[in-house]
Amino acid sequence: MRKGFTVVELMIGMIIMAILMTVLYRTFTTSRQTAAEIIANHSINDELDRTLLRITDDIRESNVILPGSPVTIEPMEVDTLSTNKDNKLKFEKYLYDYTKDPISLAAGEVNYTKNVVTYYLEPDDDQNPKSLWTLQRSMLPYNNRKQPENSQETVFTILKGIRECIFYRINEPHTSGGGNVYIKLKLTRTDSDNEDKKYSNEITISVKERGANPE
Amino acid sequence: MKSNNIWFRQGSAIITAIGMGTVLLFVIAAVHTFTSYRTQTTIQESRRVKALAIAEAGMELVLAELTKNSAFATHKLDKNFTWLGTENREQQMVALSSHNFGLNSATSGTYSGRIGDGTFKVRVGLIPYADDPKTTNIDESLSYVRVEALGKFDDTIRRVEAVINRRFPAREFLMYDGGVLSMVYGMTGLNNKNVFSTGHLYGHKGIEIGRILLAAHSPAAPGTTQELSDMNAMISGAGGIFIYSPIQAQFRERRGLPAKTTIIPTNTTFPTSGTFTSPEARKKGEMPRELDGKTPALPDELRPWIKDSTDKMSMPLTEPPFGKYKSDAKTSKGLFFSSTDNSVKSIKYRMPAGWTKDGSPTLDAIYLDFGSNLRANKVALPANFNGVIYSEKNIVVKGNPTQDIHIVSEGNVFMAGDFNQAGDASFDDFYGMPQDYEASKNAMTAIDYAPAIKDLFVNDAKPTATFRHHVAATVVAKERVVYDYRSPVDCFENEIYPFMKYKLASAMGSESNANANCLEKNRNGMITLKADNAAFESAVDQFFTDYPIESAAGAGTNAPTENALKIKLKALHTNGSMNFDDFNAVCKDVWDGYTSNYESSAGEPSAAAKKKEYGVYKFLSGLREKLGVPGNGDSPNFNPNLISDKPGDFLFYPELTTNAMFISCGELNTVFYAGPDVQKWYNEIGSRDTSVGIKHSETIHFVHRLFGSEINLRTNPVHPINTCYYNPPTRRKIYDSTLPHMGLAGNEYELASHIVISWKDTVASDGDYNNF
Repeated sequence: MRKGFTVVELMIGMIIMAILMTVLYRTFTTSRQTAAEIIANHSINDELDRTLLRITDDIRESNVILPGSPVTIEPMEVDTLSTNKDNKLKFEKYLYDYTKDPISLAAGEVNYTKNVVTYYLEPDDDQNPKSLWTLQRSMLPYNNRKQPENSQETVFTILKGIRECIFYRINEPHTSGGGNVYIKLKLTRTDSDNEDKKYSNEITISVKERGANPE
Repeated sequence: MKSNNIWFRQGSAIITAIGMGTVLLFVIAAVHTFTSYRTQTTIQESRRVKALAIAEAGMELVLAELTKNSAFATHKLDKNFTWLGTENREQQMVALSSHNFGLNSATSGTYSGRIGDGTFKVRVGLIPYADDPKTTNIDESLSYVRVEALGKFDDTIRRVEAVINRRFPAREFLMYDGGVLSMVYGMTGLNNKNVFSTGHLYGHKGIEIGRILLAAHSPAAPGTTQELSDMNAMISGAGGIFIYSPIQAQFRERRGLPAKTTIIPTNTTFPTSGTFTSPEARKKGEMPRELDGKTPALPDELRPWIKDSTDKMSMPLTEPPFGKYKSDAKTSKGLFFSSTDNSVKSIKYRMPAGWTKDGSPTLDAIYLDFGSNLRANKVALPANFNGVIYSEKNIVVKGNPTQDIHIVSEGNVFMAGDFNQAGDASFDDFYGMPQDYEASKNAMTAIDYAPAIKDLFVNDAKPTATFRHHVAATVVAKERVVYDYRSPVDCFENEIYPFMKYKLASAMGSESNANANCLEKNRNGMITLKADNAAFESAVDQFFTDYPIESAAGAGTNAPTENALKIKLKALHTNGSMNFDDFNAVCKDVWDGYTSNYESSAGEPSAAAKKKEYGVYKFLSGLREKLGVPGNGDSPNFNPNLISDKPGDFLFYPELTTNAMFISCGELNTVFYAGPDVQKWYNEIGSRDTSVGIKHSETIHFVHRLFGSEINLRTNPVHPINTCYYNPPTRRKIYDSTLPHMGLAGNEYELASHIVISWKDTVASDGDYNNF
């Protein structure tokens, strides 16, 4: 009986092994890429979720969203909006003090203070029309004489690397407060191993306003 | 034979299993590691959202309870928002097991229940806060409510905390409209002003205000304009503020806001060729498409006083609690009239053609005359009256109730005369407080009550009040509240009566004596009669020639005839003179002759009263002439701005005065062109032609003074009215600043709306929930 393998057998075996290894490798790399994409998308989703949740909570706690910030448009005009420095979300939060009797208030004093919160966008590169954007949140406190405390204004960054962020309201007749606030947020992230590869996701949400201003 | 195959080799199964298991564990661990974060996050997020939704639902339920009963509270609260002892409460929301919604029944303390697989607990309490004396139309001590709601789903608990600004629009707003509040009253070609004073103005879908500029959208001479005086604010909850012409406005000082006198500039040009969905819709007040839903720009410096939908002061209201009104009226302490009532109070009320739904010339109604200084009270209230009169029929009302009252109709309420303005024996208000204008003022230039009379009204709300000139009255109509100007003996009784006295005393004695002694009680003067009996009797005859009664066919059998009155008056000559009280008593009898012969049936002038020569009309024109109106007091072109009333002369300009919170539910369903158009038919019936009574007044010849608040909810469809039977009066709509305080305590019928003014949602622990 002949022992060992013929060259042909070895080659066939190696070819089969090579095919199997190739399939396995492709499967492995595909899975790895898929996992990376999933992780990247999850990461983007997390950032989107976290950011939108933050803004949503902020709006729900607000008393009044200031007219024109954001702009109110007709439904068919939504596609015409683009990310820019003038597109802002600006609202006021009032903090009441019910421990003070109104009679004790001096002339010009009220029983509340307020914070004016503004979300706005800044381009990373002013000269580049395709620049990514950074979302900022500023907060300007007002005292109980309705005067701004400019020295106490704070600004901090909410999110960087934004591809698109638009605030708007839809013109809805006979709706108090001008209707819901819509926020469209689009993020794009580059694959750490391949700069040509980008992952992106966008979410548009609407937030119902609550509250009212003092009267 | 022993096999070399691994599957059959002894001792290798365990190793193989361990190997495969290890590999499997690695795979499971990897998958778990990969997915658990997302899964858990998703699950947690889902629970968080559900728990938050349940907490919010609990809060909404409590707001619904508050809307049904503004006195609802579960706990007392201190200024630091610490929950103190429980409050007794009565919950009105009911469980819906088919929707998996349950409410735990309790008569005090925390409000709780179940929605789906989650549960909630809610506390609500009034924030102790003092009333701000600078706001006359709001009682801040009842205005702020804290609500804290916990929602639980599985082991996730969320807390929602909110402060609610509670509003009582009927007590706070001078005028409220569930649609567009239209303040474009008047006629073309006139220079008179309608004045709206104090309180807030609210139009849920918008406010339009301006001078009459158009007649059926055809250019015409500009007419009546509108003016705001001592106002708090104009608010549109979900619409714009349309200013068609410059409006003189004066806003009062409020906390954090100085007083402001300004002219609100025009911000809207009404499109005379506007686009409407249909001619019929346009006829019912639809705004043209060019304006509908728009919020025209307002000057920034006026934004604190003029608020449109961007300010989010939305206060939609639901209908008043008709069911509760009805059940309370049916008790022995209330007064109830069914649709089949045939008591003496039931009448057939004469209506103009085109007004009734079925074309009938009359409406079934209940007649409520609460009496006045000159008329006996014809409404017998039960012992321990609970304040509610309810009728399934229409109601006709006049006179002065003596107790806080709710007058409620499932149909219309017709305000057919002066209402809720009693006078006591003091000389200032002896005649039931007709308007005595300040020096250099007259009916057109005086805006509000004279200060002395305003003080009397303010005093009514004080616990120490010994006589209340007005009570806390609420008039509620499921259809329309209609101001009925047809009968001058009812609408202008307070003004015509002293003039009749004056003319009678002049006839029986002399004008100078009458002027000095017959009008003012506290002068305590004697009325000196003519010495010569023949002259005296001739003067009495001449008086009735000048101001005939002409006994009316169909008048009550007890109605004094002209002849009977002549005999009675002539018999007085033996006295030589009369003191004030005796003369006043005689005058009341004479006045009874004019009033009881005026109508042949309810709302229907007698044949005699349909003639211009009837004494009442002649008194009316004579009174106006005395006040400076030329042409026998009947000139349509008379400019009353040229005269000044003499304070304390006890001759008064004709005014219909209705004092109450007037709440109607009927939708706007009449000819009512939007914009500065004269074709706006409000819910009024007046002296337009002989089918509803003789025309007795031009627009500038009488004033309708509405003192209180006018609330049109626009929630109930009503049959259309395509006809107009009134001359618009000059209007004075004056807010009653006693409304926030008078009759509110313990009142279960209040219309309340709630505005969230602070909101926060946070996480809470199991312990928080269990101990709540």
